Amino acid sequence: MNARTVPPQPAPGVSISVRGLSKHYGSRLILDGVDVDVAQGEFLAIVGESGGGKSTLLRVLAGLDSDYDGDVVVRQPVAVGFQDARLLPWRSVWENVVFGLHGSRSGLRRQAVDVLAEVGLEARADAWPGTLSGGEAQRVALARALVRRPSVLLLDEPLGALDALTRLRMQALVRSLWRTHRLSVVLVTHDVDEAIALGDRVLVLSQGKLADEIELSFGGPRSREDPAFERVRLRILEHLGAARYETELGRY
Amino acid sequence: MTTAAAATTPPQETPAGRELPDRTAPQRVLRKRGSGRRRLLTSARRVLVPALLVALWQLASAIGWLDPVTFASPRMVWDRFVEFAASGVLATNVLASLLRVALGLFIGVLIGAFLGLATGLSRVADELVDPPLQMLRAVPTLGMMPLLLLWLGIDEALKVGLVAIGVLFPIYLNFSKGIRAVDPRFRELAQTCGASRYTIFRHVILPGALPQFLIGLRFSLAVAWLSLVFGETVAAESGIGYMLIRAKDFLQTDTIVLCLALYALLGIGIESIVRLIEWKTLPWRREFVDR
Repeated sequence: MNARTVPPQPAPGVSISVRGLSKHYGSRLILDGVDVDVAQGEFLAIVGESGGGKSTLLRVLAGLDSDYDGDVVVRQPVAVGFQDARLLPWRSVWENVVFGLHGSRSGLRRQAVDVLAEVGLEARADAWPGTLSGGEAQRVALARALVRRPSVLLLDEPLGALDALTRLRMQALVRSLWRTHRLSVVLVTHDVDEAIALGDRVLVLSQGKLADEIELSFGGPRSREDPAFERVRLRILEHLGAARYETELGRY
Repeated sequence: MTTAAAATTPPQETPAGRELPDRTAPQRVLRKRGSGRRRLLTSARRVLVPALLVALWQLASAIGWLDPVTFASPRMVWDRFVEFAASGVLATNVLASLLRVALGLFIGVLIGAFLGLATGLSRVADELVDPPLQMLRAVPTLGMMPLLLLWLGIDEALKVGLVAIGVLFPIYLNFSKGIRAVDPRFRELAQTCGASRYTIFRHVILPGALPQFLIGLRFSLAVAWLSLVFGETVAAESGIGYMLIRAKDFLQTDTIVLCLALYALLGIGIESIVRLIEWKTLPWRREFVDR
């Protein structure tokens, strides 16, 4: 699995502590001295252009990539949600939820059904993943993450492949799960609106460096009608070099 | 859950955002596995063309288009079948052939699966094992016959060995490919779920490679019969191939056609066994495969 078999736990009240994280792929520098702190219970959104290093950062946090420079400490246990739901097609929905856990079959099933109820899918516990819609599959993936009672939930564009309506529903679900389970969430997304709608704080990652950090002090539910929302949005787009297109094309 | 229910169950509502419909719900209408009358109709259509061909063949023989000396009529083949079945000749020879195929398959699948497993899991094993196997595969079995005759003699070992060698390659190639084709993202996921190496092997890699393994098994069954005919026509005192060669010596076209029909029927029978294995071992695929 990983070289760091027993990861050290961060200081109390802190979920993630990253200092001077750098990562090369060959001669290409993907992450260039990144510092990130995530407080316990915080919802951090990271935005950036594709290839900007945000997925790499998340993979490092998830322990899927241990070939980097710098110090990374993440409070365990960690659960990960990927852009593709990654359900094993040969395991039923509930078997996917408890994949990797130990216990009696009936006990595991009960655990799985309980957490499936939280995402509104207990009726599909015995279905095969291939029969689920994209939104349902992502909800199963969320259940699979939650059943592990994680301190930290890492989400890599989990809503990226969904249509607009399912996406809105999933955003609301993610936020309500975050609140009830008091998780620390790191959400990586290229969708600026999503980052502002969900995060307590937004980090802008551009060309491997932190370009900006924005505390979202105005409370939720955040709406695009709010002028504060729009100001943050334009500030982020500026960093990503997209503000110009935004004004030329108008809003969509 | 039946396929029809999967398609018609209304999308589940999440606690959040109750008012929005799930637009990604499966829209495809899955047909149920044929039941009752529909299944009967399907079977009827399946046997229609073979039955017509036999009828045509009988007709051609009856009005003299086919010379019974060069091509026996269905009637003659049937008579021969009844005669052989009654005397026990049929059972003896079919059983002899089946036993050889079974034993050869067992050995070939065992070796092929072992090699496929090793090369699929380990790059080093692949680099060591694959080149010699590919070289061996390029050598025609017919060309190896003189050596095989020397090594295995002309008895059972030769026939079983021929089947095993033929079976080995499709199993090896497909199993190895199947293991390597298992989506690396699934292994990654298993890591984040804290799965042990054994769990990953047992619950991710093996089930992921199983469909391709079964494709290999299908191929190898076809090869098994081919190798067997070959082996039994070289030197044998029993088996369908033996019946075939003797019939040729005595110009008994009815027996020849009977033997060919037996090969065809046994081939179909074994094919349906593989289908049954697929049905049993790949339940998660049933709802997509409408057969």
